[in-house]
Amino acid sequence: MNRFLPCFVLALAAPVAAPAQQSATIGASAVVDSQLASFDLAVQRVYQSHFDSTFNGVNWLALRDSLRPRAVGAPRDTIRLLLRTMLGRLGQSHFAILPQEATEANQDGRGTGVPGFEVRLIDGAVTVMSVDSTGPAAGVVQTGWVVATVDTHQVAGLIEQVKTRPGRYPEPVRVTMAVEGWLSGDPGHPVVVGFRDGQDQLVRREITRVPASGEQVKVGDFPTFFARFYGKRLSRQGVTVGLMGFNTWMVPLMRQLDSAVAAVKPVDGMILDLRGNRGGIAAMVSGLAGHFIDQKDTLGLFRTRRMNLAYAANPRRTTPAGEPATVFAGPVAILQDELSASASEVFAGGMQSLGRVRVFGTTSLGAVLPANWAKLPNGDVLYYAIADFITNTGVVLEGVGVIPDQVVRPTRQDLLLGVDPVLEAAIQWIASQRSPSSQEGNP
Amino acid sequence: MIRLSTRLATVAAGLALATTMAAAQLPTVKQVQDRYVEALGGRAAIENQGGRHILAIVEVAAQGISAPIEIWATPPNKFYTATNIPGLGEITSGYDGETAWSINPAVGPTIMEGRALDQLRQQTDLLGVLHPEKYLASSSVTQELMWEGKTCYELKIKTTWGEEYTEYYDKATGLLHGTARSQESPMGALQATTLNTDYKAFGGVLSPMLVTVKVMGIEQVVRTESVELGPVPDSIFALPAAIKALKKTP
Repeated sequence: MNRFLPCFVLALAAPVAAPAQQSATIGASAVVDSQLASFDLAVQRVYQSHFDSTFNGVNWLALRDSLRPRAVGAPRDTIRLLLRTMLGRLGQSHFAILPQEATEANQDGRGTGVPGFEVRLIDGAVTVMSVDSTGPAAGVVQTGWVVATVDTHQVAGLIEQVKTRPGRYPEPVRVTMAVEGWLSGDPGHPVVVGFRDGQDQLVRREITRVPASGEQVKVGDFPTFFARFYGKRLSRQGVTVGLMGFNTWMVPLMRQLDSAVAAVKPVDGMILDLRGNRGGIAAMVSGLAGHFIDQKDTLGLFRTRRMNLAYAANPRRTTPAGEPATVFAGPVAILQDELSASASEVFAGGMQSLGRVRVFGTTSLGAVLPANWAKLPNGDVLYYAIADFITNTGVVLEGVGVIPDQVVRPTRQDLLLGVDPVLEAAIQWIASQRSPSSQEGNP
Repeated sequence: MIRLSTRLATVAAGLALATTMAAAQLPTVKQVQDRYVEALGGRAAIENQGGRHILAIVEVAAQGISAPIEIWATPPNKFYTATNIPGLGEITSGYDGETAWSINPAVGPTIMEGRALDQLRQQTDLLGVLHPEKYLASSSVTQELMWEGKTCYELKIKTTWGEEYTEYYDKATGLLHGTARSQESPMGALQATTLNTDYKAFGGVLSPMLVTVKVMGIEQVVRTESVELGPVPDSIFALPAAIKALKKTP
């Protein structure tokens, strides 16, 4: 009878928040037909699952009718272009065509090499934000240096180009992501970067890219993620804080998060560093929120065309070892920047709407739509939003982002001095909150 | 005007007659339920069911997700499941007859309550078909229709906890072909359609080898690969430490 199976499967579906239904209508086997079938399936999928029946003001079927003739007999590159054109018209996040080669590239490491430093656009200059102390840039590149060239690419030219071209995302995001693209490549292959150092002298560094650090996580046909986590205790300004950061919401990191939350206590406050964290598996939002909320409070609604679902905190009243525990009741700060996106925004915006956290940094990306993916007959993957997200207080974050409670922008001078003003502001706030009651939640 | 009224009256009379004829041809709820019991293998076989250990595969084909699931169950409704999905980790769930729980690494340990618990008790009860009154407050056979490729009798159900949902019984075989109901989840109620196919007998009782769940445009298939019958030690259903600890907290 196995009547219990559906229940289990549904339990599985909710956290994944992703699986999609394969259309039974796509059966063409010829190469050309699979391209047209991919076009049709992608269009159909968005038509059936878009959370907004007005398609954000786009006449989706008319758009399809106008472009479909070009898909007949077209090669894969044309299909990609047509679909990207259609998805782009929606003007919303989480609609994309992921090329087959990108979803499979990481199996042999191609394209996953990095030079070991991160950049952001600060005061109009692409600036080194952090350097991986174990990577190839350690000791040869410093925070606060400005990237002028990457191989034959001129950063100044890029910035000018981005300024003149409209785009869905703000200029700093587009510039940063373009430079990231230049810096990444195949592991073992060098990249030559021209910097302006702390004295504004031009310096040139040839850096051999290494495989991206972190645990490789692959869920189905989605591209591989490199999941990294750090956690530590900091004592400063008269307080002790637990500082945790992670670059993506991937489930294997959850056990490290759970353990770190338990291990750093007792502390005066917790700081979650979500800067540069571009999202991942949204179900983790419930699990992480539950470390800081003792009730099943709703962070926000996942609003599809037909129903509303809730991201509710799951109060974490046990330790990873299975011992009873107390949810942390002290002050919690979130650090974010313009590259914090998706699940990071659901978490930050949701927790902010509950008044449980204070958010520091700059406004997040505003790319927050819960999404799904499906492999197309030609091997590419359609990534498509299936819901909107609104916070507990009814705030729509898509296209807007999470507005920090306290705006803190790092300057080049901060970075040259090795200072992290966003972190310092959060610690200062926790210090200001220090009172006997702030430690009540600590075992 | 008169003509129109006459026509409308004729149509109405015809519809009434058709409805009456259709209703006359429909079986009663008890007939559908009794036939289902017989189709499964009969009351005695169902009552004599023992424990089972099932090896199955859960697949979301469109996304390239596939993972093995192990399921242990023993009547009436104790169960334990474990799966390890690449990238999502090991997910376990169970019911020891008192406490229903799940542990998902993304979310943490949870204890089911409310309607989710009511649904789980019903859906895991291997003997429930013999005692429909245990879960069903009322039900009626509403129509015969084509549903998911088969001619079915549609039963509108109201549970003892006030939920309303629909069951579809295969007219040809008498077996439960599927259900359409609002399934509770940690994120709220999800409208789900469940399809049971490829029934096969184990210990004289039929089980669907394929269970397909469609929810929010999602299609997930659980394909049973192997079933081993026999007693299941109670230790399998013992609550994990995290759930025991959770029960101790307020």
